[in-house]
Amino acid sequence: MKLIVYDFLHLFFSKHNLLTFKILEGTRGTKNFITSDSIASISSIFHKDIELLSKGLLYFFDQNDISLFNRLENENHDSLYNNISETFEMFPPAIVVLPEFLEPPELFRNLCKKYQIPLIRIAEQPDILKKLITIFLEDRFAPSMTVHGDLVEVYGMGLLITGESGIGKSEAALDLIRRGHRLISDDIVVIKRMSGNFLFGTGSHIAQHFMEVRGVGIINVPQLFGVAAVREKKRIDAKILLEEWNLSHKYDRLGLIDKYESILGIKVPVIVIPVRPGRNIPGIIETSALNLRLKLSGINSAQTLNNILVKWMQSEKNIDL
Amino acid sequence: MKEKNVTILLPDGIHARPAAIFVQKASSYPDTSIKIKRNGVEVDAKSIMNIMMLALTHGSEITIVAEGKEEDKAIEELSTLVNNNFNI
Repeated sequence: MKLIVYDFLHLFFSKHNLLTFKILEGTRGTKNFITSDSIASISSIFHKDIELLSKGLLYFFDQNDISLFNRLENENHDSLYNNISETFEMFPPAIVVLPEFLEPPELFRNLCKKYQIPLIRIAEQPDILKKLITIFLEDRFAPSMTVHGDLVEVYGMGLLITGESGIGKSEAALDLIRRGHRLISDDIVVIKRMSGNFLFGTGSHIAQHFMEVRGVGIINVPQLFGVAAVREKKRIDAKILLEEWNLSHKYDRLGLIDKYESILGIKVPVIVIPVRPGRNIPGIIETSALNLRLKLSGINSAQTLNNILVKWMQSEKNIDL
Repeated sequence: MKEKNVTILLPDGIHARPAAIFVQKASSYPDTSIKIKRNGVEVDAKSIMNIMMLALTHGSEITIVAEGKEEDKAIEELSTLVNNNFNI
């Protein structure tokens, strides 16, 4: 995964349209690649933290770095210059970002000019700016995968509907939309693992809210059902697997034991729904979404029923004795 | 039609888990109708809620009734399952 500095600036500023920026030095370096989502600090150059340094990092220059810089410059100007140029040659940075009102030291400016490293000042407070960049880069560099299926929001739960082609994923999603639930994406779902260990699903940028319904053709969901019927992205809470009813397969009858699957290393509950003519799949998906919410709030219906039964049997036994 | 009497040996009786195991086994005979009789009450052996409703405790005697293509095999396997404490 690589991100060109030019694209970074373009995307970052179109996302946070309040910000303005100024390229102080190194205009030619806007073709550099950012290769990692970690933000490096200028002080790691002085500390010679080789493990922290690599090619194509985004550096953040803050007030502490300026103080450190001035102190070192007073001590020994030439050694500081050599030290930094050595590091810049070994591990060329992709971009150096400064927060508002911060004036970079003359020496550093010259070095950026020499190695054509974009030195960019963004009009935003240091803390907020660092946070915004962190979130942006994490989002861009998050591990992701593409899945064949539908992502819908049912009663607030993000459900990833999967199954073999022709099993009726799109039809189930369509019926859910008609019942007032929301479509995030049909056919192609892009899943990203976000920090905080959860999965986010979205669609392809080109045709996110279009659907292909066999027999009807292409439909435009927000135009047909209203903008409330769609969503851009949604956290994935569970996977629904639609499966052809197989007599030899034993389907869950109780729901006492939960099944899980690993998607991008994150544990996701899986609900297997056998499909057979006459089964109301959207209705079952709606119910499983509600039951999942109930389980998350600590109420397991199967467990409750079992407890009642066990209690009842024990009391009957007591009478018998 | 075949019938067989069995006694529940499970210490805790038939709670949700053994009920599910029994129902799963009974459901693997789609062409055979299987019922459970106890104290004059007859329920469908392919329904979990039906079996749990009987609240079968340790020592309860039940009659498994099967009718259809595979009645002999069904009765045999289901009674073995009960005698083996549902393989739990």
